Amino acid sequence: MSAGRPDPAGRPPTLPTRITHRFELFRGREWAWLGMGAVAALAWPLLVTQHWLHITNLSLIAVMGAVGLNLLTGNARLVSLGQAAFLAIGGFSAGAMAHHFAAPFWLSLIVAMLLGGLFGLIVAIPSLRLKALYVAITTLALHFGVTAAFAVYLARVIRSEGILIDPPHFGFFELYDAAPWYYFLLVIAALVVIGALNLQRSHLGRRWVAVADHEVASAALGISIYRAKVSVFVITSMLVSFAGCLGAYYEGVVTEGFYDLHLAIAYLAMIIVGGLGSVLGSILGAFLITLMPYGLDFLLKIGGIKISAGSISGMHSVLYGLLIVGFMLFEPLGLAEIWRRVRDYFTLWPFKYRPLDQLRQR
Amino acid sequence: MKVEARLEIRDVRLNFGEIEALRGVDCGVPSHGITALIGPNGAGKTALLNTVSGIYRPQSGEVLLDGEDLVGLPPHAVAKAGVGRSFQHLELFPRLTVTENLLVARDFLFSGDPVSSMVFYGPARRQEMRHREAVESIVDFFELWPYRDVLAKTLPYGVQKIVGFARAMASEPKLLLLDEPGSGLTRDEKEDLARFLLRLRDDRKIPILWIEHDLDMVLDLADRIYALDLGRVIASGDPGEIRDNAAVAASYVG
Repeated sequence: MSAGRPDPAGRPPTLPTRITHRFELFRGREWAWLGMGAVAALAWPLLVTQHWLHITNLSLIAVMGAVGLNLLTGNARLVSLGQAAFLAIGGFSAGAMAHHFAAPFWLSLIVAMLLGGLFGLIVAIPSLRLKALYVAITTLALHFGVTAAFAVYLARVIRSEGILIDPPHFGFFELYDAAPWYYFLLVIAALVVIGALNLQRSHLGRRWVAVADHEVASAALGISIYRAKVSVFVITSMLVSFAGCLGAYYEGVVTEGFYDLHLAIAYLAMIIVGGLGSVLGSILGAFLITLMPYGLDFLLKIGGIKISAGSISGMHSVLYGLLIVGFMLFEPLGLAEIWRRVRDYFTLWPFKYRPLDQLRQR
Repeated sequence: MKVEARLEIRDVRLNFGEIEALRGVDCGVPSHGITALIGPNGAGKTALLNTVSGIYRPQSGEVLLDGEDLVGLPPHAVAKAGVGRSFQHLELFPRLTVTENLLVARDFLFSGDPVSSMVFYGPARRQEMRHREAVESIVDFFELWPYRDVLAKTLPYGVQKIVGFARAMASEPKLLLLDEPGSGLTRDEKEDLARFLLRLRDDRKIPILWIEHDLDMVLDLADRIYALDLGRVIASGDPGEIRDNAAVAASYVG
């Protein structure tokens, strides 16, 4: 604080101010990297088999869900076990709209988001007085309530194990094969990611973090805690239900069994392994956790090891657990932090640390 | 008491069950100058500030800001009414940078729906730029240039205290409440703090209600002092009067 003594007249010291604010998401060399990434992403369906393209599509859907959950749990620090419930709300909106009204794709998406937002509001209100882990209980209650309701709906109204959903139509074009789905999901996921990045750096994103860090201080600075918590619940629930709806259309069927508590925990694993509060972390975590079981099967296959199906699903669970425990112990900031360190190593070389005015972490 | 008081506290009583934190406090902050609040630990200084901020709701009494009663308003409404506030214990937002901490204090000045925040182009971005400009003037005032983009949790203690002070000013309040901005600061940092206080008073003409334990500093800087003990005002006046007051000396020495 010794910089700039005031002059005798008491005028403010006139030091040159170097403004370092940035108002664009990407700049300079980042565009080059993004460009290369975009070319690779566009060429991806030409490089891999249908099987791996299908897994990529599942990962892209998981990215959208994980981005939503990470805003809620990573940024606003409200631990949600209701992820599967909100995905189910999206999925069953798609199923019900298709079954009862033969509704078009876009209408189902809108209904899914509205219902997701409504349920987000319902679960937000009892959560207002609760913090962090306690919110997990209210969202857990939502999970069981919603899944039980959908089980009854399937049994009594549909009288079937699940609802079949026709692939979305755009005029004569039908979104059915993995490759068109891939490009479609890629664009949507990119929009979701950009939206989330912008949301994080907007006043809303700051407000959510502030309320999570110090509730009393944020209230005394003019933030309505009520509005902050309700807005983060509603917005992220809409996003997750949207992802759930897309997922149901992609699978072509919704069943109740798909949306179990394992799914909610898998999403928590994504954001923990990826990095809490980081959009990049949501992306990396979603890919890693979605790929993991397929990757394990692939490794076993090329290794020529034959194991019974039961043992394999057991191995998946063990691997989940190991990943979460490992990251908690060795890299609590997740894959995003590892990525940042690797990037810094190369961009700063031969130096080790950033200059003080570039300390900001993204 | 002058008529043009910015803040008037009239007969405020605050109980927590059996414990009487404030037993009928009367005091006023005029629209100009530094008003200090002193007293031993547990005297009710922070309780009084929290009552003004709306964090505590008094059992009786009035808190008037420019003649309007603040009692019963939630804390965020009090802040919107023009009361800036710093905290005794560091209550910066650790996961935000210094600039972002200051921007949070201006949060209620922002408008716009979530969709425009997600697009972050046009009005949303212009709004962000406008507020960053306002925050820049605060950064300049408090000489925080090197720390603009540093996460609050990584700042040294003294700088954190100054950022807390700066954050209270970031919303351009009509009244500033400072809860022990000087505690734990080094000699140099206290001199900086004194300089900021005087410049706020003389250049920015902001009325300040200031809690401080460092009696020498208070006697040097304050225009008016209220001494609190056991939830009551035991003395008030200019620094000279407080220095010679027997009741104040007794409450401090014990």
